[in-house]
Amino acid sequence: MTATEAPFQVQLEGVSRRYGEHWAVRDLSLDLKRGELFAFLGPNGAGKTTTIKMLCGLLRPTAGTIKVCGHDLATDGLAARANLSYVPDLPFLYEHLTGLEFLELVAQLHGLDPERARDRIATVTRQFELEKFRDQITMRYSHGMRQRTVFAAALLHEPKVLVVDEPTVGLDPRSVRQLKDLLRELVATGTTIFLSSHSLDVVQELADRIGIITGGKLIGCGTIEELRSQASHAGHLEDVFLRLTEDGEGDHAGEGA
Amino acid sequence: MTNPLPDAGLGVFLLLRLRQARHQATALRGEGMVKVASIVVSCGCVAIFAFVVALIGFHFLQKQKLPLGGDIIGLLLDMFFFTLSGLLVFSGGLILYGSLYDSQEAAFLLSKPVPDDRVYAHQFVGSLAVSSAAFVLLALPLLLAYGISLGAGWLYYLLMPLFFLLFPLAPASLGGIVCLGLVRWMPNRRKEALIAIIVLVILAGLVWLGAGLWRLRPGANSSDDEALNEVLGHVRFASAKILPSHWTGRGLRHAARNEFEPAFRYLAMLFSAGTAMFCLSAWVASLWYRIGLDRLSQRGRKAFKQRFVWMDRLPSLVPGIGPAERALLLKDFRTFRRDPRQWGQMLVFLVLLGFYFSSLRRMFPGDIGWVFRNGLSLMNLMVVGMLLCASCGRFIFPLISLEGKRVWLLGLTPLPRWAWLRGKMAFSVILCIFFALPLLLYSDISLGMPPTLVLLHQFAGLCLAFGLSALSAGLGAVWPNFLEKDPSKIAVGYGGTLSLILGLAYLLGLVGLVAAPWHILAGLSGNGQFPWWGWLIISPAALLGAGLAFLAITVPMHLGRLNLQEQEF
Repeated sequence: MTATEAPFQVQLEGVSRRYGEHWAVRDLSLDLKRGELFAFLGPNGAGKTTTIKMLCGLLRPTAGTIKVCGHDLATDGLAARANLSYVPDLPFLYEHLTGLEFLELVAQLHGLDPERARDRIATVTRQFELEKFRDQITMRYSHGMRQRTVFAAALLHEPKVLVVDEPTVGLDPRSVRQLKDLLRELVATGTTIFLSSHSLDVVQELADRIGIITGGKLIGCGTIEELRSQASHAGHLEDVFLRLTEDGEGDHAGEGA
Repeated sequence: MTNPLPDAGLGVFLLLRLRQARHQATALRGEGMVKVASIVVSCGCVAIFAFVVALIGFHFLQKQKLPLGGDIIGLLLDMFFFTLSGLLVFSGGLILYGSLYDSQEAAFLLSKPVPDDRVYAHQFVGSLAVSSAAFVLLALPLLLAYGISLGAGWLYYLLMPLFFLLFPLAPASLGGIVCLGLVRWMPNRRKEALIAIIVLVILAGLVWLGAGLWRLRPGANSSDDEALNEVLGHVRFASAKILPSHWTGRGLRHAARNEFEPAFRYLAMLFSAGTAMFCLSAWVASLWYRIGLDRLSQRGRKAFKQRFVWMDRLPSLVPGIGPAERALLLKDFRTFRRDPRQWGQMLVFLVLLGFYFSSLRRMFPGDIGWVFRNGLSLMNLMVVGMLLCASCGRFIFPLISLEGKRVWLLGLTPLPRWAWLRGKMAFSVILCIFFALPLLLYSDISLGMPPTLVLLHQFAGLCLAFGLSALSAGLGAVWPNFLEKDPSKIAVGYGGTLSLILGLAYLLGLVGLVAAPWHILAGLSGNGQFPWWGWLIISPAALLGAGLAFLAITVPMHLGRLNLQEQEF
């Protein structure tokens, strides 16, 4: 099967990752469809960040394979990363570039031809309301301005897969609202989103499916209804999450950190 | 359909560097002409000082009938570039480690569809600029003085910048390969590997110095010419034909003598070797960089064992500070000693300096005259002072800047900001006193200097320890850089450079006032004895030196205190 015919935008097959003697992620398998918003939940130290870093090619799995749009990250990393964008929890910007220059850089890194780059930059500038500050050097940006610029940069090349780590931290309610609308729009246009967050209300509102990881193992995966059924609890996602992770921690107790 | 495979050429990264440089220059201009002027003036002062010293040196050699275009000077140039190569391998590798494995920028670029070797190349250029900045500042005036003394033609001045541009490529690439290899193959033992390399360099240096001194042992040579030949033979390895440092020295000599063809040949060889080494390092990066980064994160969570370390006892010796300040001081000691990247190069210099002083004790006192011993003693004081100056600039100046990231913790403690600054100064003073005073004492005893001079040198050492520490800590608070987390980059920034230059000026002034009068009077007498009225010159001069030290302590600390109190984070 060729990369273009891949049925899933993201495929993790038996992915494990070890740090020394400690297994951060164990035998994780996931298939994410086109236009799906998958939320990844778990307590601190559960293996979320490790999974995200593996998904972005910053870490390699100790075992298993990860494919993005059919491209294996281990053997075809460039092609895989060309279809992916990552918005980290601590957004990185070059302090001595303006927002516009940063967008131009990202467009060039993704190989957009100048005309398309101009069009896309104009589009994301409008979409994220960057007009007022895009010609200032980013050193002076507030957290919200940084986050908007990073999101704009991440969507410049119209990635097939967007990986987002804790996007709502430090944002005001209006920005959170805009972010949620954005994620919905992206999903509607076929972008697959892998969202890691501790904001359970955002996850409950947006996610098509939710994966819960603890102790490196995926202990629950499905729609909110399926998770409720698994937890034998009909309440809010917060209660379901706590019930499942408590059980999961009990199961893993004694296996060592 | 998947997105097409992009091809971000090196031009993208070049444009990135140019834009960053442009905005930095604009930001600098925005901070006022005083800052720009002070950079230009201070760099100019260092360059002019180095130029004048080199010019005097070359003039002296010419008076000794030593041909400047000849083999002996050629050998000295080879040694000079060989030493610089060694330093560039070390500093290039260390700075590159931070840029490749401990930077947000590298993580950002690696998550983009950019080949690993291009990310490496981009980071390499940045670290090369940082590591070779000092080389340009010192080598440029020296080589200008050489060209003027020799009466070099236009070819020399035309080719000099090209030699400068190409010379650091090969050593810095070698440093890059070592760095990539260490992380790739020994991710869990890189600290130990670095210490092993430092120890090996020290051992090699000791063996080399020891062998050289053995060749010059009393009675080994029948004449001065024979001794000179022995010395030249001992350093001739720096003229090995395969070394790019030799090509640099040789090419510049040919250019100075207007010998067009050999000068260009050596330049071409330097270009080929430099670019080949760089390509090799980039190829190694394409194989090892991402794997190394991955293995680095695999290093596990081995239980950390807290052990007793003598250095941790030092804060308890500082009088007049409370428990909170003592805890802060202890934190500085612990973070310092646990990072060999910080103190590795200084340790190499310190050990070699100690060995050199001990060799003086065994070899010279019976052999050499008073005038020479007198000069050596003064020179040793200057060398120790310069080592203190460089150490304070490199390690102490960035300390306040580095606290910026942790200000949420420190800022909320009931500790006044002034105490942070005092803590940094105390940390520096302890280290300086601990290393410098015994070294000076050893040097003077080895040379058989009289007790009055030993005391004067100890006093000068004390003034240097306090003054240089206060200058670095205080000016570090006057010009902090809270955005940068790499201390080496903070140290080579505007404030760091200015602080280093002021430190050097203070060193010259202090040694000139405290020690130089004694050495001049003793030198003029020819036997170290001078009349009683000599003390009428030495004592007031030493008092003036103490006054200078007082100013060097109080002014920067006061300015640092004011700036720190007004600082918003």
